[in-house]
Amino acid sequence: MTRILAALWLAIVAAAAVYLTVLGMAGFPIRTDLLALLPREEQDPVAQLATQAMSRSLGRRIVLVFGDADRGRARTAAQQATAAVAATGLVDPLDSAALQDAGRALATFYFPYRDALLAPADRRALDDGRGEDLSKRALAQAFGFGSPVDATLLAADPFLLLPAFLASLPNPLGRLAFDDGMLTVVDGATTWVVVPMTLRHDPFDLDVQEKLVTAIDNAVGAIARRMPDVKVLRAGAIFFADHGARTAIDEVTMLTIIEIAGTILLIVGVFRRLSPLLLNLLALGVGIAVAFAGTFLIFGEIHVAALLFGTSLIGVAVDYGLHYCTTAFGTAAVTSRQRLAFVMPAITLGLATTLVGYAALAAAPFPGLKQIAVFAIIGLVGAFATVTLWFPLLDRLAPLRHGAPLMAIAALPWTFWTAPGNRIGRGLLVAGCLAVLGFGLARYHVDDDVRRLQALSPTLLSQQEEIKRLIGATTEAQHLLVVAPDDETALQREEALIPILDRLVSERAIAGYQISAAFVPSLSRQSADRALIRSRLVGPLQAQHVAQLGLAAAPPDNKQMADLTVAGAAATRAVPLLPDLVVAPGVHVGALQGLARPDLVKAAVSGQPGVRFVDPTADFSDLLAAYRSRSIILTVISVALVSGLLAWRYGMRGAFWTMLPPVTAALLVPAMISLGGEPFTFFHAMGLILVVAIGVDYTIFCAETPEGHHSVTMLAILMATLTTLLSFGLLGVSSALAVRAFGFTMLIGITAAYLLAPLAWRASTRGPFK
Amino acid sequence: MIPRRQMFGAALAAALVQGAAISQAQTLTLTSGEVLRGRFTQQRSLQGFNAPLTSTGSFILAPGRGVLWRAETPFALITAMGPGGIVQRIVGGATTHYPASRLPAIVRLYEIFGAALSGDWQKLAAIFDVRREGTDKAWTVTLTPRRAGNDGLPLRHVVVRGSRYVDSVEVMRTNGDWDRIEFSQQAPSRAPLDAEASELLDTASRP
Repeated sequence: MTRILAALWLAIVAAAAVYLTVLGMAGFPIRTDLLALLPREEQDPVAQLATQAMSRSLGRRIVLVFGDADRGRARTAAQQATAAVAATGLVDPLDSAALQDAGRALATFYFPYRDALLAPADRRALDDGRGEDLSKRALAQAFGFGSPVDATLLAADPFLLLPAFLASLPNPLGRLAFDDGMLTVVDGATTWVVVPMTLRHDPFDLDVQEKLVTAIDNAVGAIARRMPDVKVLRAGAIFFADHGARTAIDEVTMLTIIEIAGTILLIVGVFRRLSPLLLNLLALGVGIAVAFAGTFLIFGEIHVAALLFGTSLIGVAVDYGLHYCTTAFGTAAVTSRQRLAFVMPAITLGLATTLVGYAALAAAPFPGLKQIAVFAIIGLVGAFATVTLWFPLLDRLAPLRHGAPLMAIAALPWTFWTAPGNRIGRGLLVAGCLAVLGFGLARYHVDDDVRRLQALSPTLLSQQEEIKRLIGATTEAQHLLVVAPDDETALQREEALIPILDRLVSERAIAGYQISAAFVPSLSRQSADRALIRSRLVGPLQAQHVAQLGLAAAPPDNKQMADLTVAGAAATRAVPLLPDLVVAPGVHVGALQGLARPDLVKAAVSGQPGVRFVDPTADFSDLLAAYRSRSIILTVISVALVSGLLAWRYGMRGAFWTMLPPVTAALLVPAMISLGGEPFTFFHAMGLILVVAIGVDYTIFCAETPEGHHSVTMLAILMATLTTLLSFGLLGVSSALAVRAFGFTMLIGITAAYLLAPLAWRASTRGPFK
Repeated sequence: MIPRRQMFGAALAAALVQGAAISQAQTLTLTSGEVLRGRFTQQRSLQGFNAPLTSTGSFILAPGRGVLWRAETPFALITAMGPGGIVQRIVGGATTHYPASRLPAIVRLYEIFGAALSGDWQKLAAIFDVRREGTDKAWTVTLTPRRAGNDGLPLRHVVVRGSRYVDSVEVMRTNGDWDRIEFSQQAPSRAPLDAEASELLDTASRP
């Protein structure tokens, strides 16, 4: 029977290996998008749509900036680099000819609607009865020195209201201006040439990152050799993503090497034989292979963070094999069958409780954590199956005689907790623990700011800030969301918003804004403006005005022109920015630039119907806070579930003693973190679930130890602890705060779990090993 | 967009006058604190208009600060141009400032004509085909853009005529419109600028 199961398991593992090979030949689908790790905003599909549209359009923007005291050098550098980057085919460089012609395209687009379009200042002038001023302004342009006017336009629009309207539209260029076909800003003595580009692909695609960033680095390197004075700045989500991915991959590589080398040294050093190492490597290899195959099968891809945690899983999966192999140091189990029988109750119960813990992780609504949990569950089951089905068939290990000193060391905590003469020591330790818990938890505080979680490159950040300063107005991720039953209502709501936004600009809460109503007035405003122009300008002033100009013919008194609609305007690409602002009929985004005071903006728009200030970063932080508390609840639930399982096995009293060590270890984590002044985060909380799951394994191993064999068990637990620290504890040095928080949690929690585990001997019901 | 194109033309003409006046007429030397004052008549021919739009007024050329155009007929309008941009004021009405930081082309032109002031015609020749005819007493310079159209200047050619000073500037545009500015009663002057001229020139010369 066992042989049939072992063969069946072999078939499954072989299938997984074939699947991975096939997949690997096409290149493993690996994701690096950190946002993919975090929950989709589930409450509000409209806001989600708008935020996605916003982040998609922002995420693909790339800006390269070339600065030099010499204008010509800056331009040459920009031209050369742009050509090199465009040659990759990964980006669409800004079509500067089209942009330079955008003014004319815009004028052509608006021309048929001109009888109902007024610049805000002109509307005020007409409201105040200053129609004469508009007449004079047009005359000044016609007669003014040097300034050419378009004669056709003057004939059709003698008051030049359309150019004034066009000039009042939000300027997408900020401080930039066209200088002979290139976007330029002069700042002090330096001429900066700005080259915006749009990425054709997802900025989180590793392959795209590698190719594009390499191309840009090479181009910048070439410029540095030929024109060493030229400064090059870059900004764009892809650079941060690339830096993050490179850091993560470098870290994974380094941590994996340390971890594997450390684990090998540990196992070979302790057993002084190769076969335990080979057996454990087999269990690990199988566990990881089936975990990879299973994760790809279920999710179709794997996230780089799941990979990071997945490689760390090695240390946990090795526990069962280690527990099996350390029996070779004992005297009770000599044959492989006996060894399996010796550890079977402990590792089965251990697997069951760990799966409960990981299932809680899988229930967390974070897609990436689901991957990690699935990876862990499959990997652990795989390692367990390998230990229970294959080890008895492969194990040729003779009993080992050199283990006495090792076991004595490993058993020190056991002795500490059980020796009759050590009441004072135990009392002191308990008092110490209580003190740490008391003082630490009193200082407990949290911080869920998502910006702390990513280790953003300071170089890239400072370049981005410099570019923001040079360009003057860059669109923020924070935005306004206007929701209405239809476009007309949305535009009217935006028109009510415009005075508020103008006030915010004058208060320097924002540098600027772009909303649809600035490009397309609502139909009701169009008809009001049309009436205003007729009653205050055309009626009283046009005849005299046309005579002063000397126009051959008065403009024909057209019948009412067509109405301008937002859908019509967005459909033509003539109006830049507008397509980005209209998410769906009645759902518009208001883009904000240079947001200095989010609080003021939020307060100012709060009373407006259908208008909301959306701060994806703050919403994200709120969400992290919600899930931090949720994952603590998950931990409590998993503790309750595991306690039930243990009560079934050991009774109420036994369950208490097996749960006390892992729960204490878990509580010590926030206590120690708080003592160090650090805030508790979601990622600490996620680590706690693992601390409890692994800690319970340790107490089960202790509780399941037959009388007189505790040293063997403690050696197994010590090795399990060390391998876990080698893998998870090492994450405590990661540069990513999220990963570091997780690693630090494991470091404290698992160490405490090992030291406290022997308390579970009080739950032991097993007599001598039979 | 549209105002930028207009101002580009204005700056060009102003700079041309300034550059040509001083570099061509070798006899003209304004000493420190001196300005050139004179009168002008501008005729502007636009397609679809009965007659050229004609305006007259006075101008002041202040080396290092810029140039000030003060139209008197058909109505009062002041335009100041300098390295810092362009300022336009309708008398009794609004003042509009177009800073050079928004119009780097103007800065470039001032660079170019700064070079022209010091006799460096090479820079000008990079943009225009420069043809000089006549004598020092009666000369003509014809400037033809090397690149016309969208990415170049919207000009067909510029003709500057002069004797001791610049007498006229003709700007032919690609769309068939043209401007002709004639100068008269030009003389160096030490008389101080009035407050308004000074203020507008300051705004236009401040970078």
